[in-house]
Amino acid sequence: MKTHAVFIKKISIISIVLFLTFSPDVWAKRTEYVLELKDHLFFPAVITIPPNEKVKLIIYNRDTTPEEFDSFDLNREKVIFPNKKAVIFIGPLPVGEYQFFGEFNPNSAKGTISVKSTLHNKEAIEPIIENNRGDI
Amino acid sequence: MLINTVLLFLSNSLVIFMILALLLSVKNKFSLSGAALFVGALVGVILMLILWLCIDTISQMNDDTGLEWFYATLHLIVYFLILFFINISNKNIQNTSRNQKKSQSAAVVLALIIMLQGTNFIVYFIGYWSHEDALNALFIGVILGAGICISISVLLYFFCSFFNERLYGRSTEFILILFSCGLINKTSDLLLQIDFLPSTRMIFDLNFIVREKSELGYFLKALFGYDANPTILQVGLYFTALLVAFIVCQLPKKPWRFFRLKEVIS
Repeated sequence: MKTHAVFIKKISIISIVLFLTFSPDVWAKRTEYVLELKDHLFFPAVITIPPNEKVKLIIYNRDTTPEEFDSFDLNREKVIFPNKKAVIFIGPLPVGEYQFFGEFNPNSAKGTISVKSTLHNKEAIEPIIENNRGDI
Repeated sequence: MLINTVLLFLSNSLVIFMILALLLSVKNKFSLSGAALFVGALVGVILMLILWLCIDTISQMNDDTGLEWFYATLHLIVYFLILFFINISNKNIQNTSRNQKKSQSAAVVLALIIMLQGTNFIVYFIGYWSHEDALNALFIGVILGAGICISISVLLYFFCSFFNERLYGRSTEFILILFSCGLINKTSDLLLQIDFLPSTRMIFDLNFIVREKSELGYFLKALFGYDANPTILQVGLYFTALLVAFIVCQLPKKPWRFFRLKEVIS
């Protein structure tokens, strides 16, 4: 009986791990949007994304000080080190406006994610400067 | 800058003060060594500085998701360490080896929490102290933040001591379990952020009752991982962690002490 219970436990753990690892949602290719931080300001300040879709947000910090990307609406929080980049996945979101800000400079570093249904996925924003990963 | 420093100090350091208060409230009950806790705190500060030195390198690992993986792994380790600590502390066998294990696990928990929570504030503090106008605000902010954190942790210490003595003999262990499940909630937040866990829509939003980024929100987040707008997966993981914790910890069945409360009232 005990062996049976242990077997079920093992199978459950393996199933959860397999589900999380091979879930199609997890490994799906995401549309990328680029955001830049310069002089404690986000560029562009408004990013428009399609509804009900998870997207990848790449944030470059061009300042010499660290910043923390923060959003109550999106429930996201991540430190971006000086002259480095960070990656955050957001969504799927319903149509609406979602505010984000830099937690270290909340008065200046502000922006909005605007979710609109008419947007085509190819409208992803290009970075101002091309970067190599982790070296800008 | 001043208010921002106070809020950042609160959001990052309150957890450290709270775990310290919780461990000190059971120090005598579980025969924890004060020296072990002190060494744990000291090691935590050293680890925090080491992590600060290499945190930007870690953050760029694994396609820029290194920091989330690092924090998620350590949160899981701390969760299981807290469960192990409560489990061995609940067994009524007193010997030197068991007391040493208890003290060591408590010290490791303290060290890891200091390292994980302190580094974020150090990044902010050291990143901005070169600014001429920021230095005063940073120092005053740290002093004010430390004052608030100490006040809250002293209250928590006496709250736990009172409840352990008068109402429920395992109050601190119960809060420690909630605290450890809060770490699982933070882990799920991190894994959602890097797209490892499938994210669904938020099932409710409690920001209109307690804002997650308010002072009370920080306190509740530090205490039991309060999340104002979780997804269904996060709620499921939280309750699974809670269930596992209660099974592993094996809290005694009759630790109620209402009769002592009645004595006090009468």
